[in-house]
Amino acid sequence: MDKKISFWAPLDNAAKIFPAIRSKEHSTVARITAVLNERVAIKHLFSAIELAEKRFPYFKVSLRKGFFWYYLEQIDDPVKVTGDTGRLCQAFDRKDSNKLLFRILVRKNEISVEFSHILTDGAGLLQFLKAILIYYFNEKGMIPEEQIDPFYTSKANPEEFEDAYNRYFKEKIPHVIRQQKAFHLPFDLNPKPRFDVLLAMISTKELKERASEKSVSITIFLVAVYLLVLQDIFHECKVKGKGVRRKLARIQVPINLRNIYPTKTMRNFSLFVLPELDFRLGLYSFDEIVKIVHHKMELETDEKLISKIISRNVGGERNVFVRSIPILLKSLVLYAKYYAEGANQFSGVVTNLGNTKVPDAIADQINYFVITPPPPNKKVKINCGVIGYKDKLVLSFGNISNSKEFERRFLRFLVEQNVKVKILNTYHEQRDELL
Amino acid sequence: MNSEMNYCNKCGVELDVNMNFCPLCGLSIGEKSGADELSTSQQKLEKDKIIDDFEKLTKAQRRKLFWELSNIILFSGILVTVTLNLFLNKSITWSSYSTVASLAVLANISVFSFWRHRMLIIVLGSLVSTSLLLILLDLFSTNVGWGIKLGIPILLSFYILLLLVIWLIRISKQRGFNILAIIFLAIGLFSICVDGFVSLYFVHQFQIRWSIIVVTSMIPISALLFYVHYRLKKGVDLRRFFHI
Repeated sequence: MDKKISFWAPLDNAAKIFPAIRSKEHSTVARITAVLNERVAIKHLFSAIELAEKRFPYFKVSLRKGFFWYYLEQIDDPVKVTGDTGRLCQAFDRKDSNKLLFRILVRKNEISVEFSHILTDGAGLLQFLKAILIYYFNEKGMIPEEQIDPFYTSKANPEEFEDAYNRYFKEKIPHVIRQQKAFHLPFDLNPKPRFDVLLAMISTKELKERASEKSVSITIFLVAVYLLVLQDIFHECKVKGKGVRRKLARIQVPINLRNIYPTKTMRNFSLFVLPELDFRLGLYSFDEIVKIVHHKMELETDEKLISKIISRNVGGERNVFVRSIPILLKSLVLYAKYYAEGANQFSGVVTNLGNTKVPDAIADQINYFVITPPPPNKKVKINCGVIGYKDKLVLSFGNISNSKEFERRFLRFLVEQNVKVKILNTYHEQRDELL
Repeated sequence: MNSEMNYCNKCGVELDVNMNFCPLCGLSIGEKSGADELSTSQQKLEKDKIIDDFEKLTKAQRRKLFWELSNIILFSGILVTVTLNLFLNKSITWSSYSTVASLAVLANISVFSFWRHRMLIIVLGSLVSTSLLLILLDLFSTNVGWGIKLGIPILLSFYILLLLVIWLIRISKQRGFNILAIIFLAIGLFSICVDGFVSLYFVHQFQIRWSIIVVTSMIPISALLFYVHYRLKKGVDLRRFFHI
């Protein structure tokens, strides 16, 4: 690629924070794995990656430091395809000669894609992996060209690399009121490298049935379980006499804004809804929590409220004073603000990519998908990624603490609700361990 | 690599029939991934390492040889000068200068020979030996204390600035005019130190006089060099760099 005509772009609104807060441990790198029913044929995979490179040229960028802002610049480094050693979501080494912000990892029957959150969100990442799978099976002759969605065969649309936050920014929107700090799990951190993942597979059908009994979606049901477990741990701390100053639990639930605002963007375009529980008001039953989460989610996904948050976020970056601060100082301020305010806003994360669909011709070639959200920060300590495929729904608990108490309680509750849980290890060799 | 199954023993991926090694890990057909069994690629790496080590060893031997030769020459010099001094003056007078100077040179050669990759040891060793040289020279001559009061502060400021310049050179990703600019700035700062310490020694006040001229001429030169460096820096579009 000729450097003179290489394109560049400022970071999108959501990505602007990541260069300032990323570190070796808090890598801000997410992973999605497709577990196939057969071993990966490496020759076909390389051909598929080559096609994906051409289809998504805007992902072949590196992060550059400008005077006022970071920006993305197109480069021609080869896509890194490596064996999967089992260490997930590792930070992109800044000293590495390959400056791309994504990598592809392969092991036996698994294809994983790891992306820096600077480039895209979970939805963008999944779309990229699906493209690789479609090209891969096309190379293997398992899916005819005519059954492939034109999105995967057409050239990249410039709109796919737009900063959609900016497009939907509205001026003169009132400020968002600052919220109280949230409760954090009282666990000690793991020694470095801290990040560990626990995978649990459950039946989508079973979980859906349990959620339907409460007339809510799977996401709401899982968020309610998350809050219930936090409530249990909070009260246990109180009984044990551990001082817990923060009496509000809040869960960060990313919302894919592409479902609200029309855009083809493949970059970050999501926001968070923060359902919360006030422990000061007494002990909540599970049904009460489900009700609270349901109404809070309904309320906060309202287009006008979303618009308010977009405008607050984008308004910040448009502020002349903010813009004119040199990057070094800006990064320091962003880092301090993230740990003083951002990370204090929520107690946990539930990110659900929903039920994944692939073309019928290749549906039987894929066993299941796994999403591993970026390693949680030192305050939140644990997060949860959810992705379904057919009847297999995989919960991925990212954890940097030395306790598995949260996961144990979470999964135990599901078992009590008559949802069978199977624990997989990070290599996805099923241990058939039933709780 | 299992030839019948045609998959990599390490990554577990299926390989095409004409593939002799796994493009992911480099393991070739028939190889096991166990740690006790070295793969061909690993063996090659080991071999490379041995060759590399051997080359390093030769260089070390060369440095040792140089150090030994320096020892012989300098100690012979010391011996000759002291003998001459004793023979001509019946006591050790002027030869003490050449002796301490030779010992300081030897100390510098030693740190450069044996700790060439340890910048801090080199600089500290060199600083200490040269400081001792100055103190001894002062002691042998007028003994008015200029060695400690004037020599060491100037020397110390020189070494601190030297370390700073080396560090900046090391961390700069693209080296060019920016290095020159850094050196010019360091010269300016050094001139302030010399000016200040000299005035402190003679008039007991840290005064900056002539060095201000040096600094005011160095700053615009450095600024110009920095500008030229970043303006001409390959691959950087100023519009991108300064987008606000």
